[in-house]
Amino acid sequence: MNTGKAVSQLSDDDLVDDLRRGDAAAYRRAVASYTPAMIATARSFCDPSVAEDVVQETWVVVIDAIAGFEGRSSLKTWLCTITANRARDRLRRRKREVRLDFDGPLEPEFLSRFDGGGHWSVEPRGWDLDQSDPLQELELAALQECLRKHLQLLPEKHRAVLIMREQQQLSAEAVCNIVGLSETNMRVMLHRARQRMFTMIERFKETGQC
Amino acid sequence: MLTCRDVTSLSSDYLDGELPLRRRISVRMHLALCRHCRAFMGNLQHTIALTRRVANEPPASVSEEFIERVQRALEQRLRDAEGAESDGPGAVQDRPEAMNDPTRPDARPARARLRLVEGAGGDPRIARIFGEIAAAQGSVPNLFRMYANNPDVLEANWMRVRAVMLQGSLSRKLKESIAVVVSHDNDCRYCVEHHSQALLALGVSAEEVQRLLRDPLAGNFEPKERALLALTRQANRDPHGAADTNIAVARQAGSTDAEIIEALAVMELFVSFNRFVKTLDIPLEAS
Repeated sequence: MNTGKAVSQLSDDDLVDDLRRGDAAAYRRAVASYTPAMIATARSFCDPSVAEDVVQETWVVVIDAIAGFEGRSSLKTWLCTITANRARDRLRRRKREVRLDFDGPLEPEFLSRFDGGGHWSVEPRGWDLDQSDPLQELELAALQECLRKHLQLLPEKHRAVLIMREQQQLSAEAVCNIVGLSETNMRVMLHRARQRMFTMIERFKETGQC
Repeated sequence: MLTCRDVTSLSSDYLDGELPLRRRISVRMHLALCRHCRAFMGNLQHTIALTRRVANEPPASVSEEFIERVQRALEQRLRDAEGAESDGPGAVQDRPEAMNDPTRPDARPARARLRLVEGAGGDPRIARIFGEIAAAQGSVPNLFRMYANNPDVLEANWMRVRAVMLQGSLSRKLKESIAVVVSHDNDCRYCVEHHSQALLALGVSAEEVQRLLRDPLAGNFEPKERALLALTRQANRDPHGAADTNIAVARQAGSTDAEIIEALAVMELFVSFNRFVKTLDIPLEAS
């Protein structure tokens, strides 16, 4: 009876052996356990629907690639790396489709805040965001929820640039290579993505609405 | 001299340390003199920090449906890859003798013989029952997704699980043990796995679960519980042989008639589940 093995937590090694043998049950388990992390990885590069395609493709690739898995990283890391590579490939393939719909460093929203002489016509007020204040914890939680939503609403490449730079701290060169932009344009895109997040937080601070 | 708009335009590069020295000094001078730009710059820093925080969280709520889809796609592929053996999608269903062969871990078919109901599909009764099951067990097992093809039967069986497993006076541990032992005797891997997990969740060690499977009566039970376990096991395998002696022993060990009924109800509940699961090849959930 092989129940005993299933009862005790399966180790990576056992699972990898089963995957190598093409055991359907092992694939079911692996898909259920690791898909969330892979989706999270793919979503940092792609829109949610595309992320699902990427993850599904990745699993198909894994059927053949698992033979070459050497266990130098955990299975999860290995799966996420393949996912990230495939997501980046997809972005790279699409780079010719990139039309730069911006010509300056400022979002329209910000351009309108200056007068002809380049002075603020709508003066910014500093946000009072003291993260150590427990009273603000709730507000902060709601704000993060909202940020998460808006992060998903960013255009694909804006989000990819933002996440690769802010979260993964990839080098500018790597990011440019992946999204197919010159460094100058990549920095403009990063700046504009930040402005979008900025105005979102600002609206939230003023209205309490996401 | 930089304007406020220039500073705003350069703000990301400034904060990221990407500006050439002279530019950086110009921005710094402007900031020293302009409180509006200082406010803006501070806010942008907050924006970056908050975005980083959010970006670092794993967002992924992945729909069950998507996971199912991937699983099905992979199973199809694995079957295709088997080549010689695979003679079409019907192949898996034509090897009943392999299903319960414990020496063949691969023998378990990946797909149930009838459709598993994934969502309530707008049926409020199924939605309510699935909700209750998920609340009690953490998720909706495939067993109930199968029953959901017939909502009346789903409801009746869920009521039965509630009455037998979630109420009554015997300990949950004893009842889960009966479930595991009876299912093991009937070679129902699905039920053994589920209720072994339930025992683990109750704090029973993995070794103890293993011992229960090897030698059910060697477990750590009170005399009354051991007697009831022996009775249910006998009743499953040889109902007629069970009767007198085992009931007498259970009584002697202090079981009330209500408790004897409760223990036997667990046995018969799982006998029916075992047969149902095996007839329909209900697969274990992937998680």
